[in-house]
Amino acid sequence: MGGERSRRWLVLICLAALLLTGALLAMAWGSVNIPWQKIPAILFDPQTEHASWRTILIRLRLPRILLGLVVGGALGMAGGVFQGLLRNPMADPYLVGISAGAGFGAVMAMLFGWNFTILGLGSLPFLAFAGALTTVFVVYRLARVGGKVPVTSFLLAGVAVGFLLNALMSLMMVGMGRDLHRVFYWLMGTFSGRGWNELRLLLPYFSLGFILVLWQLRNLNLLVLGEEAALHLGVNVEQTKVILIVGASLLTASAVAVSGLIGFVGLIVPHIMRLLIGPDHRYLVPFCGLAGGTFLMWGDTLARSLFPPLEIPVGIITALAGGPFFLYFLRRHQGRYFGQGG
Amino acid sequence: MELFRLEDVSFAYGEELVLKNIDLTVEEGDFIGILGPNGSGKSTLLKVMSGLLHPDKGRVFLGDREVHRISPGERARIIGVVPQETYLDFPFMLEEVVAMGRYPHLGWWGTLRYKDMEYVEEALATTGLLELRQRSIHQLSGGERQRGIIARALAQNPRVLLLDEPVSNLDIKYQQGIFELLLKLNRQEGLTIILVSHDLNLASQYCQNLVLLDQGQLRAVGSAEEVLTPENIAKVYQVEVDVEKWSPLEKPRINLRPPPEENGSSKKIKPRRIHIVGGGGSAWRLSKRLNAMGHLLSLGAVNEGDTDSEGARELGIECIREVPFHPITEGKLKQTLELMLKADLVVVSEVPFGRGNIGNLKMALEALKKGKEVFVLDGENIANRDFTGGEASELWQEMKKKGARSVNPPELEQILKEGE
Repeated sequence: MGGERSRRWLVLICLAALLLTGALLAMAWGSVNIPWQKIPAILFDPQTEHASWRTILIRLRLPRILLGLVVGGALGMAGGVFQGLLRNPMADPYLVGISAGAGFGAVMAMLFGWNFTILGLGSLPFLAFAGALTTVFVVYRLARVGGKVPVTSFLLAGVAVGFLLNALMSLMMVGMGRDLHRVFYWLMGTFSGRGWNELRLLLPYFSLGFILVLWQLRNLNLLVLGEEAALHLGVNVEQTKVILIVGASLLTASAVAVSGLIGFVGLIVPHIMRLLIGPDHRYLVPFCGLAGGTFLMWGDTLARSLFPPLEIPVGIITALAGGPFFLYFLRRHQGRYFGQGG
Repeated sequence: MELFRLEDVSFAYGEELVLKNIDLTVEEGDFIGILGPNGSGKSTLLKVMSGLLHPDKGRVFLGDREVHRISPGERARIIGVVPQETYLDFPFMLEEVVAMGRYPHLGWWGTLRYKDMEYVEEALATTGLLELRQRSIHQLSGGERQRGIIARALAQNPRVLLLDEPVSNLDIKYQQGIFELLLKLNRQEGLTIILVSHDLNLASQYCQNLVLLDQGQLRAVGSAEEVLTPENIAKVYQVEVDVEKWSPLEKPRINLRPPPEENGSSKKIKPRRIHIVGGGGSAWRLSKRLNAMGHLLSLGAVNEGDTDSEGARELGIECIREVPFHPITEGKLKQTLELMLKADLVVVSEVPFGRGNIGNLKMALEALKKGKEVFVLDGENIANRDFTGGEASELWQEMKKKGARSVNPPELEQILKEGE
């Protein structure tokens, strides 16, 4: 297992380097360019002569960097968990109806112009969060047969409920008129205007989801060999599935509530990481978190600095950059890929 | 010591009753084969024992506790299971898969300690997979993968191994390899083994005890000799077979009989009573053939321990036996004559005749005189196997004069087929 371990270290070092350079660039670039050499000094010195730069860095750019990391990390990990849990390479965090539920909640908030605050959350993130979790709960109950939740029915129920909610969401959008632009931005996923507040509010849900997932990663390894095999190896299968579903849903819902539906991260990051470090979920899922966060942070930096002051929805960037990157990977590593032998 | 005890176990998938009132005990150290046709409940029985399925009625004990009351983790430290199918969608390395067998012994993160690595090592070595340990499971052949799954179960360090058709997709080399491995584990480590198999001969050869299931019920339980009888197999599988004792291991072997032809091209053979005079193995091939054709045979008289005496025992043929190395006595000859007279015809095979068994020839002549049809196999000249100083040859000639027909075995079969 020595080979695997040194490979993991290598990937970890690369990811850390990407993360640090990305963070530095993200702080330097923007509608105001700040020389990157000066950034550490400005950050760690409250008495700095560049007070306005310091304000931009701390009030605007730092929270967005952290948001990118947290949201990307949540989506990457949730993707890794769902792909393992559903034993389906096409699975992503949105597959089981989460995106549709969140979208439904968000569009409702926008359509009716509701404006309230619950648990410190504004109406839109709250409804998106609640919509996502409610949908997963309903899907789970629908798929439940005699105390068990077969993975296939969970998947199918999720897809069916998702279609239904998407249709309702589209129906509401038909009646929206001038707010359509906002909905569109939200559906593509964006960090525009988000900051410390959102980060603080969602961190508890993210952390809870993260702990739950981390707790069951060992069992997830056995679950991917089939539920029967997992049971024979001592896994309490149904309990493990519930914990993983709740954990991954919390991660996804907290991400969606902040940033809308950012696609692609949860689908391709787990694939790339599996190709790089192998399928041991104890390492795969945390690496997906690190890689997803780094990827999304880079994406967000591009999204807001390509055409300033215009911000492109970050979902467009992730799809545009991620698609070709993933195809390149797929071609190169076809041999090591899912079920293809050799 | 008793390991498993099933008390009146029934199980149904929905409305369909798959197991009916099964009572079964498995002793520690046993090597059991569960046999039965498709859909007879073999795999279900295994799943009920492993705790995967909970019986609708009755109880399954593992040791002194009911199996479903034992937590999955503890169960996995006692029972290792090799399921019929394992999903291997993800490209784990072989040694990672085998190391998963240690998980029931590990903490929440699954860190392997030195001791665990030793178990993994040993499991890989036992299954002969050490050199393939770094390979992705997608790069292994079917046999290697199956051995890998067995290695994973061994790494669990269980007391009992349950296997569902462990060799069904493998060629005979791997079939032998896996069964030899199981036998070794059973004999040397005292590992209890319970497996489901479709291959009656493999099960007969390797298993200590067999369980024959028929539509969810136990048809027979016991040694291969007790379970694999033509009657049991005919009842359970609805096929006609011959069971012979395969000499190297003294285990029953099953051979399929060609089904009776149904169109009119060949007449159905009318079973006859045939008495065969044999000895020294001269009657073995003939009696096997005639027995397979469905005729009712008797044999004698021969000495106990004679090859033909053993052959008769194997085929379940009535046989007059004299004590070893003793001339055949008047009493036995009288019984032989009675059998000859009861038979439709008498066949004298190419037996060497000496003072001890010349009486048989006299009895055959007697039967001939009383109007019984007698066939003599004459391939080897009687003079060459006459050790009586001419007496046997004389009797032989006299029998021929009185109408005994000289034939070779194929001719005899043909005559019997034509039903003359």
